[in-house]
Amino acid sequence: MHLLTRLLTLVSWINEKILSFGRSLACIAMVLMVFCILLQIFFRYALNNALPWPEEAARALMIWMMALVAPSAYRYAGFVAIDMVPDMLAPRLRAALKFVILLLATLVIIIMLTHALAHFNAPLLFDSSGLNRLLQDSGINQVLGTDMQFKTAYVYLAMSVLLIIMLMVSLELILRNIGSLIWSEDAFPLPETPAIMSGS
Amino acid sequence: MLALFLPLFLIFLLIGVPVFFAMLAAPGLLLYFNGQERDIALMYRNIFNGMDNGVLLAIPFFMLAGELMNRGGITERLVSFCQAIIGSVRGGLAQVNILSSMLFAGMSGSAVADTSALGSMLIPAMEKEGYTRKFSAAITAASSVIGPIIPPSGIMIIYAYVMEVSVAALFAGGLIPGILVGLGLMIVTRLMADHYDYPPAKRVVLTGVTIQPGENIAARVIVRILLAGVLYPLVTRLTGLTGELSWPLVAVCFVGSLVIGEGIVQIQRRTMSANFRIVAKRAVLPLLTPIIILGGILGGVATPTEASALAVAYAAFLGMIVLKTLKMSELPGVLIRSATTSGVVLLLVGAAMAFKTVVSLSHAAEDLAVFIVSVTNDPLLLLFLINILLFIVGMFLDAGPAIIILGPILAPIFINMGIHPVHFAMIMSVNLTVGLATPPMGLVLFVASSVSGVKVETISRAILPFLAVEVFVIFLITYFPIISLGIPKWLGFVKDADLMGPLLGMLF
Repeated sequence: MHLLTRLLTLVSWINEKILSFGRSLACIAMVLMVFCILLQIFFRYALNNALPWPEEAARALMIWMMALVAPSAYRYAGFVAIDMVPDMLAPRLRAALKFVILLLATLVIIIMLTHALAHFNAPLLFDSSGLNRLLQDSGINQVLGTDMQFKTAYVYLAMSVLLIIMLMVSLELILRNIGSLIWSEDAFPLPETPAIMSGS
Repeated sequence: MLALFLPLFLIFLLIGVPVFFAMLAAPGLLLYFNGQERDIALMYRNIFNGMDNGVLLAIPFFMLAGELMNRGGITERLVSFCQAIIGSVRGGLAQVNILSSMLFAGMSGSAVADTSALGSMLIPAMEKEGYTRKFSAAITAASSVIGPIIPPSGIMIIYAYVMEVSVAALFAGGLIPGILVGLGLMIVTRLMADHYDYPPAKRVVLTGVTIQPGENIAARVIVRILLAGVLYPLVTRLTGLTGELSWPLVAVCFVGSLVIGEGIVQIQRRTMSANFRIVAKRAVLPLLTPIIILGGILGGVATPTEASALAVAYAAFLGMIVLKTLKMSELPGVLIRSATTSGVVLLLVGAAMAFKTVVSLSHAAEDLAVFIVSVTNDPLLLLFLINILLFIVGMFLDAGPAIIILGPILAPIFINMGIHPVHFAMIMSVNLTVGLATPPMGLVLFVASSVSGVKVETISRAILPFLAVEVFVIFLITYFPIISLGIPKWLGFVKDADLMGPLLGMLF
């Protein structure tokens, strides 16, 4: 039990840091998303000039935002599920059922991750035309004297990041579950939802 | 063999597998055992492609706008406005609760935001007036389901995207059903006055309320411009002007409308007390939000995504600059909560697109259609049965995930039978939204319980008369397509719709 607790504390600490950092980045992504679409509206209606990049940028930011916050929802039981059957079972049986569910979820995550990595590598060569116009129009490359190019793979990367963090969270949840299966649920309580997420 | 993924999926859901994993694991496992591993790669690509769409940006934006308004003190202004209008009838605060929900519904797309915003304010106020706490919690929960029916609506955006229907058509379609639910609740509330022994009626316009000079001027100008906008078509028709008008003529007509509007305002002023006028003026800026959103989308000026971004900007502007009730320190929390909720929804939409791929690969919808038609091919009976099925599903599952799962399976069956896609979308959305307030798994009930401190079981019993009205409205929507198709057809979003439907068609 001692070894498991120490391992769990370590994984839990790492996850907490990663998830909290992810949530902060997601906040920034959300603000930038709104800004992109407002800019699009301003250019289209006020200046009569439809920019090619704001929607593409907002979509990329949305996918990254999702990738950075979804693992938090997974860890703090924010994923939609019907808990009626597990709630009716005795604690031991419930822990066993949850263990099977967690294994299934982890299997899904691992299979998705293998596809995500393949997906990430395949289109690495493609440039993202809309976002490259942003680099060109804003003159960032000229100012920095660089030749940066946006690749669509930078957006696909979000899925790999999402799945790797979810795998970490899965590991923590499985360890916690093993603990409550062998010892008791009280000795391995679920992580408390941060106040900033619950709104209290 | 592949069609077995549906029962497997149901088993996964029932034993508590999160919807996201169940939607991927059930079809994935069967594809694997069927030797169709290449289709698993297709499923994965559809998860990503399903999320990578500009329409979906409206989901986080509307959630963010709702959260910002929730925190920004807009609720308090809306409630005092509703109180000034209908607070003086018997059962006043209960009616205020319903009317506030309807107005709030025009700004936020979620029932939960509605329950927590209005409940935390109105439940204690109602109790102070002499209503029982369980009744107050029940009416708050029952009325907040109007939130996702009156546009904007998160679940309608999801439906429109997954089922490839126009968001604007669904938004236009939700207006009358939402108002009907509200009116139905108001009538039942009035009828139950003696049964629940409501406190007697009394005048409840707030006194001693002030308004800042700048806001006062803005409210006056906005009201006059909006009134002129409403009068303008009337003025042009009365003066016999038709077709394309030149700019000077448009200006003259608009000034004429402004003058007539001013006359109406001056007559109205005499009938209202100074306090009433201030309370009404304080509600003008918040109530501009639904006008921006709906006017933008239904008028064809802005896409739903653009309208939702404007709603965020306007809510932030109101909360931080005009009302000064939203503090900078509250922003990270607001952003994180809306990001998390919408992140989960996005992931579910992605999984739904993958699920949809397997539904079509397995011909599950066709097989199910053959089975259903073999039971009965009477559309009236089928619509009745589907409503029962949706209601039961709504008892156990949130509206969003339920739409994501059932939409791709059920919609094609009914559309093939001649039900209009927008009509079926309304039946599904309203039914599953009412499911948010049905025990045992109604999300809104849980929120109402945590806000009021009343047990979920107690609220569940008190809410029954209100649920009965909502079920009645669901059947009205089902059998009278004109309720949901009338406005979309009038605005030109729906062209080839049969407004009569099978029931009226049979009678006449």
